[in-house]
Amino acid sequence: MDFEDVATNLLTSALLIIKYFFFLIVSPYKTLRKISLEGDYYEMGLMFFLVAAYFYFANFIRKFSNPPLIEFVFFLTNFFISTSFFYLLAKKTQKNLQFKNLLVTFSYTLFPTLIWFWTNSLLYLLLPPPRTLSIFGRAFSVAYTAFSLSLLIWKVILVYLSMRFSLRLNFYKIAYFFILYLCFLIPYSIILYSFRIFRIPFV
Amino acid sequence: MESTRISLKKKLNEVFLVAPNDLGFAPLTNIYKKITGNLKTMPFFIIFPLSLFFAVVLYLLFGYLLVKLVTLLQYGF
Repeated sequence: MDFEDVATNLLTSALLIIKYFFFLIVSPYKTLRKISLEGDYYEMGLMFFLVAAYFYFANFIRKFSNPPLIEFVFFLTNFFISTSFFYLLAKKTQKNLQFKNLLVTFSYTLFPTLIWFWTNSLLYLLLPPPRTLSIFGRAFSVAYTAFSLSLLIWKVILVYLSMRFSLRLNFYKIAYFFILYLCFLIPYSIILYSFRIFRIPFV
Repeated sequence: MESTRISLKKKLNEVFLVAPNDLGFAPLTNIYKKITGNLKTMPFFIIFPLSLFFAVVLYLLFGYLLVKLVTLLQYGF
């Protein structure tokens, strides 16, 4: 593989990510189904690049306890632990699964996370906390809560579809695996918070 | 003809990637299909109003605690 191939693949993946971003808003079902069949590691790599860019930007605004590279390594660890968790559970009940499909579709579920964290960072500059009890403070709080809830619901939809198409699971198995995942994620997030790695888990 | 056949085959493989969900209880399956049918295309037409509704309900229930929560979340990045 020469430099021209790599450059072409990167450019194609960048264009696909932009295209899929809009299509994941408009029709997440068909788009994630398509990504599970056609996605590749270049797209996943570019998504990780966006995450790394966020950590460096956030560290520029407000210094982390750890260097941004360490935060990024922790994020990668979380990502691969989460995807391995689902993949190994699903492998007990399903055959002919490909880990690559889950990795790529799961990387696309980072869009709501990235939007929330980037927005939070920008709001820290434009409208720094704390929020007051004035009419504007309350109105902003309601709007911010609605915005966060929207992204959370979108995230849940994308994770559900990612597991549905990559792991070929039905509704009950997805719900069951997700509950098991939360049993691991919540204490893990508390540990990460107590070690000052992530205040809010970057999942 | 050949390219159309290949495109159609590819599309059919994509559409039938997973079997339809069956929740084992017909009314439950119908409810599931109604909800997911609305979320498959343009889900934000439902998500935005729903989120705003829940945010207002949370504010009416918890009042200033919601403002404190937002402050905490804004520090959370």
